[in-house]
This record gives sequence, C-alpha cells and structure tokens, in this order.
Amino acid sequence: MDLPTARQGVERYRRWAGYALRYAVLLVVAGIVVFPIYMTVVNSLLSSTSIIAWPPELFPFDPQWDNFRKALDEVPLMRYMLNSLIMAGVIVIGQLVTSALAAYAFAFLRFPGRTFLFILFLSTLMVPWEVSIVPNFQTIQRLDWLDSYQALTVPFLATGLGTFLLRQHFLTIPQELRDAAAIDGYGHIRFLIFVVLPLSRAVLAALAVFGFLQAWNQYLWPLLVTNEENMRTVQIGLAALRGREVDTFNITMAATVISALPILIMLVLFQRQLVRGLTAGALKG
Amino acid sequence: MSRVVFDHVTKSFGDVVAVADLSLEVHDKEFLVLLGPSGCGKSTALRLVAGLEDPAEGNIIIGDRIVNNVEAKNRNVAMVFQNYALFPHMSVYDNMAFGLRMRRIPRRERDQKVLDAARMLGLQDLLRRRPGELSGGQRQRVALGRAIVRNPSVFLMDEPLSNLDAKLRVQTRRELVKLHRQLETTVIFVTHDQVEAMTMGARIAIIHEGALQQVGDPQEVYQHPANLFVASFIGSPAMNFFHSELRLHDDQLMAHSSGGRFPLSEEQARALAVLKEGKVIVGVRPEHILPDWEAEEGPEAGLDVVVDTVESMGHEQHVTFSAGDTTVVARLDAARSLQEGERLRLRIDRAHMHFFDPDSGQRIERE
Ligand SMILES: Nc1ncnc2c1ncn2[C@@H]1O[C@H](COP(=O)(O)OP(=O)(O)OP(=O)(O)O)[C@@H](O)[C@H]1O
Ligand SMILES: [Mg+2]
Repeated sequence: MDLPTARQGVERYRRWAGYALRYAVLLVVAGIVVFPIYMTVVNSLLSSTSIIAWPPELFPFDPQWDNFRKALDEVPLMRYMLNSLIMAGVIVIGQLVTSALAAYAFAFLRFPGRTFLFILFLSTLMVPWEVSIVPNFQTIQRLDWLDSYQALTVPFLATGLGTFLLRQHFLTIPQELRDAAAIDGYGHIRFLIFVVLPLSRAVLAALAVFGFLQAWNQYLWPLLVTNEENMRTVQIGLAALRGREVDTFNITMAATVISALPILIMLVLFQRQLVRGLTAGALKG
Repeated sequence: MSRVVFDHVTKSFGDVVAVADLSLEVHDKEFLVLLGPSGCGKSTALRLVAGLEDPAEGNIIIGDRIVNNVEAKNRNVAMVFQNYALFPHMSVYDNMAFGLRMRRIPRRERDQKVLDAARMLGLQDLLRRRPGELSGGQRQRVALGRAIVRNPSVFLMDEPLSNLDAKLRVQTRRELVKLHRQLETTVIFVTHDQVEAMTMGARIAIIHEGALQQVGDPQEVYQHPANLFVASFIGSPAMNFFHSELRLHDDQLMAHSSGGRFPLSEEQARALAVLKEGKVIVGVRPEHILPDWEAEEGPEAGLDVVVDTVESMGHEQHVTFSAGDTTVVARLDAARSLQEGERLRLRIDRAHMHFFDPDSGQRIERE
C-alpha cells in the first residue's frame, strides 16, 4: 500500500518541477520582450528632470499625466493618427480584396499561363521594396498625387505575400465543395463570399493584422510623398518629435505610447484569430 | 421524363481517356449502378451528367434535351459526393438549405422542405449542428438531404457509402434503395464495390478503362458475363480461367489445358466452331467446382489437383488448388476439412462453363 503512494508522490513532484521550470523560462523570455515596452511607458510618465537622471528611474513614483496632453498640444498627433488610420485601413482592405481575388483564381480556376503568373507573383516577394521606391515615387509625382491618400495607399494595395498565403489556404479547400456549390447555382464570386472566405477567416485576420502593422509602421514612403502637415502620418510625426532636445524625451515617449494604442487594441481584439491563423490548417473531414 | 442518355460520349484529360465512346441509356426512375475498378472513369461519367465536365465528343441527354451546353445549375440534377462535400462552417440546416437559397424559394417553403427532408432522414434533432459535430453516417445523410430538398429529376451519387464502416454501409444501402422507391427519381449510383452493385442496382453498367463492358441486371452480368473483364470483375472469389486448346478424342471434343481436360457437349462444340485457331478460354466460377466425392455421375471434366491454401469462412471454405501451372479456387462446403498438400480430383459441371475468345476476350454464347 505504501509503495505506490510514494511513487505517486515522486511523480507529482516531478511534474510540478517540470511546470515550474517551464514557467520560469517563459517568465524570463516574457520579461525580455516586455521590458522595452515597459520602459517606454515609464519614460512617458517621468518629469523632464527625472528623465535625464542617472541611474534611470525604473518606476514613475510621480506620474506626469500632463505629458500626454503636452504631446497632443505640441504636434497634431490626432491628425497624424487619423491619417495613419485611413492609410492603414485602406491598405488592409485593398490587400484583402486583391489577394483574395487573385488567390481564388490561382487556386480554383484553370487558365493558360496560371503557373507562370503565379511564379511572377512569387517573384515580387524576392524584390525588396526599396528597389522600386524611386520609380514608384516618379509615378506618383507624375500623377500629381503628392500629398494625397492615393499616394500613401495605392502602391500597397496588392501583395504577393498575401496572395501566396491565401492561395495556399484555398488549396486546402476540397474541389468537391466548389463542385457542390456549382451544381447548386453558386457562381465563382458567390462561392468565394459564402464558402471560401468564411472558411479562411483565421488566415484573413492574420493577413489583416500583419498588413495593418506594416502600414502603420511605414516611415520612408510617407516621408517621401507627403510634405503638408495635415497629410503626415504618425511615424513621421514621432520622428519629428524625437529630433529635439533631450529633456523633452518624456513627451516623445508619451506620443509614442499614444500612437501605439491602436495597434495594441487591434492585437487584443484579434488575438484569438491570429493564433488560429498561425497554427491551424483550418479544414478537416 | 428524366432519363439520362450518354450518346457516344468521350472525355479525355491530356493523354488519359477517362470516358471512351460511352453509349448508355438510364431509364426514367431507374436505379442504375455504374460499376468499375478505380480510375475507370466512373466519376468522370457522373460529372459529365452534372455539367462539371464538358464532353469532348458525343451528347449528354437528360429527358429529351441535349444538355451539353446547359450549365450545371440548370440541369436539375443533384450530386452526393464521396466525401460528402458539406460546408464545414455552416449548420446542418444551412447545408441543406444551401441550394434552395440560390433558387429564391421563399423562407417558409424553404424551412418546410428542409424539415421534411430532415424528418425523412432522421436529422430533425441535428439541424443546428455543424458537420464537424456529426458522425460519418449522419454526415452522409446530410449530404443526401441536401440533394433531396432540391427535388432534382436525377440523383448522382459518387461512392456515397465508401466512407462508412461495414455495418453502417449495409444498413444505408437498404435505406437508399427504400429512399429511391419513395422519391421515384432516376438515380445513377457509382461504386467500385461489386457487392454494393449487385445488391442495389436494378441494372448494373460495368465500365473498364472508360469503356462500357456490359449493362444488365445482377443475374445477367453474373451468369452471362459479356467478356473476360466482366467475368473476372464480378464474383468473389473471382472466376477461374483455363487457357485451353480444342482437340478431338474419339469424336469427343475436349478442351485441353495444363490443369486438365474438359469434355464438351455437342451444343458447346457447335458454339465453339466459330473459333478458327482452336483456342479457347474456359471460365468456371468457384462454386461450380466440386471435389470428386460430391460429383454426380456424368460426362464431367476432371482436374487432378493439390491443395494449396484453405480459407475458412465459417459456413464454407475457399480452397486454392494448383493444377499444373494454373491455380484454381473453389468454394466448398465447410463440412469436410482439407489438408494442405492433399491430392484430389475435382469435377466441373459442364453446364456452368463459360467460354471466351482468347483474342477478343468476348464471350462465346451457346446456341
Ligand atoms: N481533372 C482531371 N485531370 C486529369 N486527369 C483526370 C482528371 N479527372 C480524372 N482524371 C483521370 O481520368 C481517369 C478516370 O478518373 P475518374 O475519377 O473518373 O475515375 P473513377 O472511376 O471515379 O475512379 P475512383 O473509383 O478511384 O474514384 C483517371 O485516370 C484519372 O486520373
Ligand atoms: Mg471516383
């Protein structure tokens, strides 16, 4: 009677130790990831004297909430954010629409040159964006689109990566579903809307978040194509703040925190879909 | 009128000829089984009727209309797919109502139709579930339900039972036959399982390499296989074949094979006179081979054989013998046990011999 319980005790202890170790590692990694973000928040709440103090303060004992108001006063941060939001929103919607349509054609339609075109799409992934920045700029300039939302968005409305990812997912949707829908009178567009897209929600969400982040964080291109204050995006506004004296660093940090809020909110909202989109091959049986 | 006619239909994919000059009429309200080995073009034939593939040559006729250029949705056919093709993100109700939505059928009528079909199939309590939450048999019934609510003039079923376990398959087989009687529509049922074909079909069309081999009711294809392919494909264990030469012994025509020799009746001899080279393939079903102790007196063929393997089925045994360089399979009564290596003499009832032309593979019929 004694022996099994003793063994069980050892087992339980082992399992517990395993958990403890795992969580310790996770905590360390999480700390490394979170620390810079934490410091940004701390700095955004320090006064201009304590921000240049040495050693640096690790906790805002006297939080200066006023910093946020100052940040909003000093530059038209709200306007920048609105611009960024419009830009990122249009880009995300455009990318989802164009990649879904292109991916559908590659996955479900048979047409001459399909493989060639698909490889062409893929090859755009190998060309870094910087290579095309000059010709793109010239095009925008010639269209007289400088300082406009078109300039900020149109070059990014299609994406090879999005098309590729969606196509790979669409290929996991059985051809039989297409056949069944065709017999029931569903054309390609209806089949896409009522069957393919609902079955791809997770991938679409991942793609949207990814595209939004990328658009939101853009710097070089908005800098090139906008000059007017009211067309600037948030990253450019932040950079302008950064270029000033050291003791307003707290204001810059406050602006940074504000500008990160939309992304934070989005990540929280989409977290579930994101994880599923990255892990699951959503179809079975 | 919802007969379906294949009129010299050919369809190929690149070099592969999936359907080769197929001519076949499926009668109105008939349950026809398309039977053939994997890759013989059964699914392609169904898809041609559904309008999912276009024939390269020939015509598909539904009712009295050539439908070659009619879109799938306007053919009024419904198809049940091998993997059911249910939409995983929709409830059972939505899956069944899927085709009705596109037809602008008013909501109340739609509800009624779905409910009726669900009741008929015993699905009424599952309407809210997703396909992922159903068992294989239930999914299969949802797929059927989706087809039924459309009230099609032709049902196309592509191996709808192949994903069910053996017991459920037998049960569903019966339900399908009953359902067909209830619905009174034309059904084309595809399978590669001859037992399924024999038990379900009013008529069976046997296809091999895209070409039609024989059409007939189960008895007919079993007792009068039109050629070597049908003879070997239908029946389990398969028919035994003896490559033989015709020789005369004292006015008695005999078929000589390496395994033994079979005396032929006058009638058979007359039928075989069409063979110029004097060569014939003799086919005998395993149940028509009897060990000597059971054979009755009479002019029967004899084979001297050695027992190879014995497979017991409980009520009978399947015994493999070697006779010369051919192997012979017989279905014998389980009562008498046989030992491996045992020698004995087999007799064959001459009335049950089938003859085939070795060149063309075609059956040579008596008379
Ligand atoms: N879309 C296609 N493209 C190329 N070849 C095809 C296509 N569809 C079918 N085939 C070929 O046509 C032949 C017949 O195929 P089909 O699917 O009709 O066979 P089947 O009798 O239904 O077989 P199974 O019992 O395995 O389902 C096969 O050789 C197959 O490889
Ligand atoms: Mg098939």
